[in-house]
Amino acid sequence: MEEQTLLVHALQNPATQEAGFKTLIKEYQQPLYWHIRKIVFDHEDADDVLQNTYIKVFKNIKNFRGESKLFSWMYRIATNQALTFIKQKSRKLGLSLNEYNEKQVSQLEADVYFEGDAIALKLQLAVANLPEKQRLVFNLKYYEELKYEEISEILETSIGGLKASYHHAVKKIKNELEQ
Amino acid sequence: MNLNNKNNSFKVPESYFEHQSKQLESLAEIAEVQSTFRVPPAYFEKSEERLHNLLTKKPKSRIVRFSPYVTAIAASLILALLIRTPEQELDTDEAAERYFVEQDSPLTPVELLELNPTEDFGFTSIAFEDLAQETVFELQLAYDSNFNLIYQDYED
Repeated sequence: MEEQTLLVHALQNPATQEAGFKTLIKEYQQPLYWHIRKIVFDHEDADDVLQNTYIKVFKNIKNFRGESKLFSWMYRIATNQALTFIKQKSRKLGLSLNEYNEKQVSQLEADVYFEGDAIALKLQLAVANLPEKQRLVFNLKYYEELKYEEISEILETSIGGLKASYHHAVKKIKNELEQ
Repeated sequence: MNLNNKNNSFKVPESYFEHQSKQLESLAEIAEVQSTFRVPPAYFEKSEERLHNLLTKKPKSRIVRFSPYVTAIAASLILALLIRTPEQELDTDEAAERYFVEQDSPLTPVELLELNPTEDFGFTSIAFEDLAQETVFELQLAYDSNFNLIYQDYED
């Protein structure tokens, strides 16, 4: 039986669930964290969203039927949790999403968990200013080096659409960096 | 089969593909040098343990031993309450409503959704007249399948 199927069976069986979750945390904690961090920027926020993601996975594992890859399903949850988080936070602060993202990037300079020069900040700002879909596609393709097929499962978007989004994202970032 | 023939009728600007790949390369150089986000020391080890505890450990019930003196006071307080209060069932809906009304900052729609533990919770089961337009929209975002579902049950 395939490794993923075994893990899913373990997660859905109360007798083996604990061991299953241990594996799930060990294997996916880091990639999920970095994916979330690139959306929310702040470490503490990423930590909160990571916890929420695992709680959602825990609550919904019974609904997982194995029709997509487990990691794509978890990435989808993490993406939705991270987007919900930043939308809620920006609303609470009375800022648009763009204004909120710009504020987050401007705070990176003083962030002890960010080490980057002016170009790094410019790059983050350029990524933060992308439309939501383009930003997600760019992060998943460029930083996490996922294949279009995998991104397509996570974002539930056609491969053609993803390629177009990535192309536009790269063009915009390049323009921003050249200014 | 030559798949390129399929594209023969379409043209791209001169040296378009070379330009595209150069763009990507220069971007790669910039980003590779600046891999800049950090985490606190041993964060992932600590987080692994914390997540594991969060998901698998059941809350332990604590037994608190009171001195006989404290127990006697507590018992007499309960008796006094029982004598003074007429026998009636606690109306949980009313209590919950009272709680929300008394709150200075009402719960966000997401918190409201989280509070409801049932599977059959429906968008239409909420009385909207007291909710702000933005709140209604947030709930629609969460439950209307025509929107980008945020609080869908995660089925693959």
